[in-house]
Amino acid sequence: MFRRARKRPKPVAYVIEETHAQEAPGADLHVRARSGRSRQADRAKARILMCAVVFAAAFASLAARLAFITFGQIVPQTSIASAPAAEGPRPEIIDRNGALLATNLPMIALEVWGKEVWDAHETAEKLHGVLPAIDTQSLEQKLRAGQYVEVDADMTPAERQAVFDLGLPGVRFSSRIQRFYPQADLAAHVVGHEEPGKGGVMGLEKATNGWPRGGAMRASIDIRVQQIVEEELGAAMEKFNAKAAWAGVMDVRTGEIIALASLPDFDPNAPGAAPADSRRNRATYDRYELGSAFKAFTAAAALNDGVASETSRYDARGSFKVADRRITDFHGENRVLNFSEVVQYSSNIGIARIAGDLGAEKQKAYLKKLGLFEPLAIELAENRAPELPGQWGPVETATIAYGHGISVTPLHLLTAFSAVVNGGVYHDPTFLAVEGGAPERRVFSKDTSAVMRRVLRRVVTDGTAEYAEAPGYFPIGKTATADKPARGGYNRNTRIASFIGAVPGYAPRYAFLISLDEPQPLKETYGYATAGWNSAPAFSRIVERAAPLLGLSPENEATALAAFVSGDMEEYMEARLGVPVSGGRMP
Amino acid sequence: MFRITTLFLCILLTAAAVGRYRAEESVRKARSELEKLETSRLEELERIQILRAEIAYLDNPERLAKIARSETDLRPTSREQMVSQRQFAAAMTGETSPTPAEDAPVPSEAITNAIAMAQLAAGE
Repeated sequence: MFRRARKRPKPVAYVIEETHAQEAPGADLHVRARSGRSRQADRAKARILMCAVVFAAAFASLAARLAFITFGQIVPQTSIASAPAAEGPRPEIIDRNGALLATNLPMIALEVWGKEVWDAHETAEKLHGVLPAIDTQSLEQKLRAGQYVEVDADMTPAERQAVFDLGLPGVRFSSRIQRFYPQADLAAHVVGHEEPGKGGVMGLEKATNGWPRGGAMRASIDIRVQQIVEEELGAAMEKFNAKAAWAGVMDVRTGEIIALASLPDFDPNAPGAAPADSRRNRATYDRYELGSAFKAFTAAAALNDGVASETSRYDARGSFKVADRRITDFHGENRVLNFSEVVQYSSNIGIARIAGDLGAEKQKAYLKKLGLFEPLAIELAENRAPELPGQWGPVETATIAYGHGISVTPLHLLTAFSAVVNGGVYHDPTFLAVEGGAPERRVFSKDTSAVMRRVLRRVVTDGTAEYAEAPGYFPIGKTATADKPARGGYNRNTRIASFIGAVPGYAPRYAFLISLDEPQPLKETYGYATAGWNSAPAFSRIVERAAPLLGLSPENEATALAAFVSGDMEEYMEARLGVPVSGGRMP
Repeated sequence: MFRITTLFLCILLTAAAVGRYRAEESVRKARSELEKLETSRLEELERIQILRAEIAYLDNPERLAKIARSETDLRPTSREQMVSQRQFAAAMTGETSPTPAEDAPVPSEAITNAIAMAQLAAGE
């Protein structure tokens, strides 16, 4: 049935190539034939070649990988955090000596998602066992409603472990960074605070919004001096039952603000707990008519311009009529005063006469040079331009000479005063520690400044500020008691009492401003509420406590007197304190 | 010949593969160790950060002033406690101040203490 197919015999040879030696007719045909063995050899060669290629590829890949492992860089895993929490999203703020003012703290919060909770009652009860401060009823209600509840914003490691051990469903731990202000209410208005999601909203915190990440912002503030200023200011405010108070300390050679206080204040760790009024920085944002401190500017301008000298004399008897206004003195000497006495006894009449001699245009020019026409170039957003009179006639020239009719921020006043006493150079104020000082411009000559130091020293020794004396530091300064503006004029029962001064008086390093808003008269002040009775003593106490921290040592009277008379502040600084002639910084 | 070569290559390949596996394993271990170290470093930094904040809180001048007032007799430095370098040097060497007019106020309690300390140190 089935016939097996006959096996074909194997050929002896295969014709694998035939070529014609020549294309010409009659040419020989060459035939190359190969045996079966030869063909097997070819196959074996092909297999070997294939194996070699495969091995070569495998070795190459191994070699490449080994080389990569040996010499290549290990790429960090994404699970490894690249930045520690300490460096956080916002830069730290430190004071000039490195004390922390604002930092970032890692926090662990406990959150419970109501939708994932099996038994709301059990969850609330068990969490209450670990965290007794929890209101169990409220938590249970929220969990039953399926709400997401943050039970605790800052857990201790022990609490976290205890809650973890409960093994409750729906319970989560979330790690977060929280801004912390270890100095609490100290320098609160300078440091400012942040709001979640908004970043810094006031003070230096707002300035850190554009600050390079990872670094620290070094403020010019010295927290030790700040504490002294706030303590003494608070004590004065309480003693004289003042509505508010503010103070500032400035390095007159660099423009750095060493301390700045505005009371009432607030704790930046809980800014919402304080009324909005307490968060207002009165020292840099509010504008006031700061009164007789302006006499120092008028006097310096007149001296510098050559319209007055230390020997000039002014009639301060009775009153002085300017246009339709009559200018009088608060406690008039009612006699002819010399130039120094006009400032010493704070004579409105005398200074109005000096301003009249100076003229409105020159007065404006000097006040402008003193930065009293523009907002200050400071790092804080809480900053405003002075309020100038609509017209600047003879009456305004006279009243502005003693600080009425122009409203400036207290920091404006402190900065301008520094330029009067430091040798005549205006420095832009700054809240950051700077090397070499802030930008400067000359306003008064060195001689003018030297005369003004002598005049302002007499205010303390023989004038309205006897209680500002700080033995050994020879302070200079000026009292300023300004009635507050009211409808149709000024209210004689509400006043701002300020003392602005500098130490050491013969070669000033630091200027101080202390103001009390509506201080009340006391029995011990004989019914007076003027600056000489309240702000000046506070200045004295601050200087005596802060001077050693600021590197100031007491001086003997002979040396101080010699420095006052010669007026060569730089020579004194070099000889006695080892401080360079210009742009130097105290150790 | 072919089989020996193939065998040799196979052994070599296996050895290389094992070598690579071991190298990778060691890298994996090293990386794991690195991760642990990194985590530990971060935790340490967090602890340091918390400690820095605590130190800043404890160093708060307001707090220290309250403690100093209630627990100690410490008071702010007064000018009588301060002496100039020249005064101090003069007191330590037993000499009088070269320019007393310049260096007043003298003498002070600080100088007396300095002299006493110097005498104590000298065994007198």
